[in-house]
Amino acid sequence: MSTLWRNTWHHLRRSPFQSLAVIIILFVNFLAASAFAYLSFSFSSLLKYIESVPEITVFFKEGITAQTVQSLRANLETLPGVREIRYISPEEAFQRYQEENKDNPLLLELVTAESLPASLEIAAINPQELEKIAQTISSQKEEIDQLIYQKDAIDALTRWTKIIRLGGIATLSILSFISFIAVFIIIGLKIVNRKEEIGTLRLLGASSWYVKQPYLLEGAFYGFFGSLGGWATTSALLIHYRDFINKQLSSISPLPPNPSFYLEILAGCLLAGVFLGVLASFVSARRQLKY
Amino acid sequence: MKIVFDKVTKSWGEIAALKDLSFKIKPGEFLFIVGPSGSGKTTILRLILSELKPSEGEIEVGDHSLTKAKKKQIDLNRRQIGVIFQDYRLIKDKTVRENIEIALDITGHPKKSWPELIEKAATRTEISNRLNFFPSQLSGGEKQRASLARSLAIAPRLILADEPTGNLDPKSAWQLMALLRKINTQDKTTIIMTTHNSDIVNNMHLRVIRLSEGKILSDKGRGSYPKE
Repeated sequence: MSTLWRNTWHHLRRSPFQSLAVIIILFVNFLAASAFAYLSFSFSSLLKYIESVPEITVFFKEGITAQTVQSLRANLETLPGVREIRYISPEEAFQRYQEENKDNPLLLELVTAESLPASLEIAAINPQELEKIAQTISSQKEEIDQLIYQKDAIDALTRWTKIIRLGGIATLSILSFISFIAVFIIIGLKIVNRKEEIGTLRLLGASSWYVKQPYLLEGAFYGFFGSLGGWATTSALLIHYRDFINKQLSSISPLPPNPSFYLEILAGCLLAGVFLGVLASFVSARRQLKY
Repeated sequence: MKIVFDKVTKSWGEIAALKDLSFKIKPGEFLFIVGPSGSGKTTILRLILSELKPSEGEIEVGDHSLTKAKKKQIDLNRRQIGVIFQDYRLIKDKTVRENIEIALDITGHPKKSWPELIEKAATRTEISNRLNFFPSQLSGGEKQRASLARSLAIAPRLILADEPTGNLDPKSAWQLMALLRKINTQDKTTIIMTTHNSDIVNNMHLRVIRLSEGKILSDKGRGSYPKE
């Protein structure tokens, strides 16, 4: 083991409870950080999903002829902002219904193809076009039974995503500041406790960098293990409940099963943790060791 | 390693610890600096180590002027100087071996050479059987020999000893002095030692600079130092 690692290990062993306290603070910080990262990703996935599915669904009244539907479709296709229009016949709607409720025989028994109306699924180029398209369709009151318009859902989800991101940034800023101060104080205390030893090292010709190195490594150690612990706990909980969450959201899968997604979050947490630990130690060492 | 003090004054505000001090020390010389407490003995050592900067005058250590030396040069100078103190200054939570290893690491000796250098220094200072002991497990004499082993391992050109016998019993003190004299004659290492011990000074028959209130009272080649 190199002298640097051994010195750092000595520092950690000499005051294990101080070290543990800092690791716990960093653990809480990164527990929240990884939770916000996963939450933010999930909301973005939900938003993308909702934006990608047909934004407006038009259900026609009973007895409307195919000719009337085709005529409305032709009208809508001329509108700017319309990306795609798909006609869903009552039979196709029934097939979908069967697929979605295949595990629920009671629901399957209640509905027949005749009880489901024909519909048009209209996708817009972007969500801003939704309102114009919806207004045009609403003018055809005689043929239309119901218009499902997802603007409100998108708006709400966009708002919540923003709130979560802003709340996450604010919470993480406060937690990171607390973590920074904790590392700063503990490293400062350790330096003060070892002033005599540091004085001896300086007399032996140790450079300023040589003296500071073990403290920077100690800060990196705190950051590494704090962030690793935080990420591991959040990820373990998420993996444990992933199937349940995905099941609740049926066809939407906000949490991908691929390991690279979790490893990317881990890499981010570790980088941020080590950076935070080293930065706080560096500032503390710079303040305490003025030469 | 030669040392030159040229009209050196060190003062803190109105209080002068050293006043217009001039002397030269030749390479390989063994020199005592004596004087009552507060006479400026330790200040001289601290100036040589660049722990302090002179208020006036020039100090030369080896071929370098310390007055304008930059941090890096100061560190390099210190790596050629072995220091032993009355309170030993061993790192408490490290064994004697680890204390010596730190000095070797700082001075940039290759790691593979460490075992040999440690063994050599420990053998000379008769501390080989205590290498894996912590300072708290050693007697005063052993601590001082461990401190000397740490200095010797780096093959210093100069040893500064600040009252190294202050905490030792007479037998250990004489053992240490014999060891220092041997190092001085065998390795031609310059040694500067501050002390209050008049018996040692008078029996060693070496150059003695006697200080009082920051001034040189006498600088004798083979001085006799009156008992306090």
